[in-house]
Amino acid sequence: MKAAPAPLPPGILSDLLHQTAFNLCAALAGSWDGPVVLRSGDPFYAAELALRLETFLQTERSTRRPMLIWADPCVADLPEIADLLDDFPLGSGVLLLLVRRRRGSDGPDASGVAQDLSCAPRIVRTETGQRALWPKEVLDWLAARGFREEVGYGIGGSDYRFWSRLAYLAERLGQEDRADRFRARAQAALLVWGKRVPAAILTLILTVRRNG
Amino acid sequence: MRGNHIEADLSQQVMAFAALRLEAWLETMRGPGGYGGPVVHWWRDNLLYTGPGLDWRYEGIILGYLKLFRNTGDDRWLDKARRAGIDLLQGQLPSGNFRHSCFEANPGTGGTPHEAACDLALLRLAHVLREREDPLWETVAEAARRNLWGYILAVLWDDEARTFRNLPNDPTFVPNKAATIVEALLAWAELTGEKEVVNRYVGPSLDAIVKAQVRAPNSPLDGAIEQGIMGARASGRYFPFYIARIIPALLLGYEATGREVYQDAALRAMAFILRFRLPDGSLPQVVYRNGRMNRHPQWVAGAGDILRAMKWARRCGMDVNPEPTQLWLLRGLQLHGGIATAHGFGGMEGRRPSVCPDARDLLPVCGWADKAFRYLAGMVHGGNHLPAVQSPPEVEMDCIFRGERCLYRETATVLEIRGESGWRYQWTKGTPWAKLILCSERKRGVPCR
Repeated sequence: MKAAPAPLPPGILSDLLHQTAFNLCAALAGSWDGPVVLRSGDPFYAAELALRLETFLQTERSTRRPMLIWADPCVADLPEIADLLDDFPLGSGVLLLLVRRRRGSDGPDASGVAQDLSCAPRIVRTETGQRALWPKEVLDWLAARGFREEVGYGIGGSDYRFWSRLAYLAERLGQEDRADRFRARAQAALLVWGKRVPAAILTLILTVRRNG
Repeated sequence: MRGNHIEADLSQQVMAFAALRLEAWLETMRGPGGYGGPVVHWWRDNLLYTGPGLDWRYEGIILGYLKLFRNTGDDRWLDKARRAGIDLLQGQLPSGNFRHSCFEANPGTGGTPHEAACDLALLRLAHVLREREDPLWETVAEAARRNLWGYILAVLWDDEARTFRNLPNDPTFVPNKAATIVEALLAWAELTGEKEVVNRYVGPSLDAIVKAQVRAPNSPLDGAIEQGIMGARASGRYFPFYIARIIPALLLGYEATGREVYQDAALRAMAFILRFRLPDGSLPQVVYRNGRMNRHPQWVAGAGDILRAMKWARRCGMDVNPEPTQLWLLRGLQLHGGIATAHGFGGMEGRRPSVCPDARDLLPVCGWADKAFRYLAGMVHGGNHLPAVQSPPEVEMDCIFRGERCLYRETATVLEIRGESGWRYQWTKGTPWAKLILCSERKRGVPCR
């Protein structure tokens, strides 16, 4: 009897990007001293993040500063999250995992790298058909509740996409040695911070409640 | 002549002592659930997940301890092999898979060849436990059976292609991974006397490996074995390290079936490895079908598996001098007993590597150190008079981390990389996640939470 195949990542993102984002998310949550709550309407995100959070959730933690991990936020989440955050004291955190989706066709390009990542506002649906929230929308919404951005990381920025495409092309041309070097460069550029974060395919933003 | 014997004895003693020091370092890497720590690899690094990994590290750790036990008769080594086996038993899922078995892609399950490597270790452990009439042997063997029949044969075996798939969703045939499965199946056959697996899976897999070997007598690539084959398309990459891992399976296959083609393939594979061995005993990371090679990074701890393959080839009468590679391995030993993972990670992207080693070179990784441990453990014998292992409380080495000059510091409880203004990477041993600080945070003075 064949086992059921593992769930595939939603959308077009490569496994490496997701793994990096999930692990970084878990590492940030792991060093948070309060309890961690996970919310994601997407079953893949929820399952992968839960798997990682299981590795440390048994440990005893202070209950004073909770953290919410909110992955792939969508409009339908807002009422529940608003209720949850009402009970979050000062110093509590919200760790956002944001996904940039393509505006064009739904299929991946041959290199497996997202092509058009323009962030011009338009209605984009999550994998479960909900309207996804734009990064600015979520951050404004959280800011209205006293949460300020502390740290941001991008996974898969423009350099990563550039080198990944070159690696793909070199592989197609039978230049495996070049392909490997380009791939290594892509990996070195995988994680970005500062001004390069908004162009990344996946973004992690830690916000902390500074005022009520 | 006598002088040569003394030299040989000395180098054997040096390697034996290195095995015991490495064992002491491995102990510092144990946490709840097993051996943990960051991972660096050619394919990708995983510096963040540092919890236990039930992956190929258990192959070298368990088999290394069994070797120590066999060679010395000291029960404490068997106890440690048993303890590592229990890590695997406790980390087995109802599906038969092992928890966190994906090494560089952890945490995840269904890792290849990692789960087969765990099976191999469990089956050899079961063998020894049965000899000792330890009732745990049946549970250990059953765990391997559940993984082999519940995952490896049920999910990875492609009945149509008569080869093993790389992953459930990836039909690529990866010879070194199939070789690890072959070794596990042969260990099963040896333990239980069930020979059906040899005809049904081992033979076709070894045939596919032989088919993936370059046959070009006048070419330096002769004997190389493809890294992966997807349909009719080969990857065009030959990794000496992975090819070395295939050699024992081919020779075991020869012993089990008497088919000389497997022995011939193994010796030609070793000839390829020796052809590309560099004067310092190291091997390039990869040789391409166009004849170019990429040295970066060159495995140091992983050279243990290359030396093990050399030992197998020597047993078949091949003239192989392991000494340059032994010296290469020993040069990687660190003061605290750990062993450097590689040399030249900084040059991986095609840039000239700095004189100062990359942090990834220095970082000892359980899943690489186990290969050195397994090989070096074979040098320890009951008659050795070795000093007691005493590791310094801390080790510090200069390194480059993400382009910045840093200090690598490791103690029995912490591993950290420090820049001028504070730490950049920190792992408290035994915890499942490490902390990383990036440039933007440093500039803004925001601590990594």
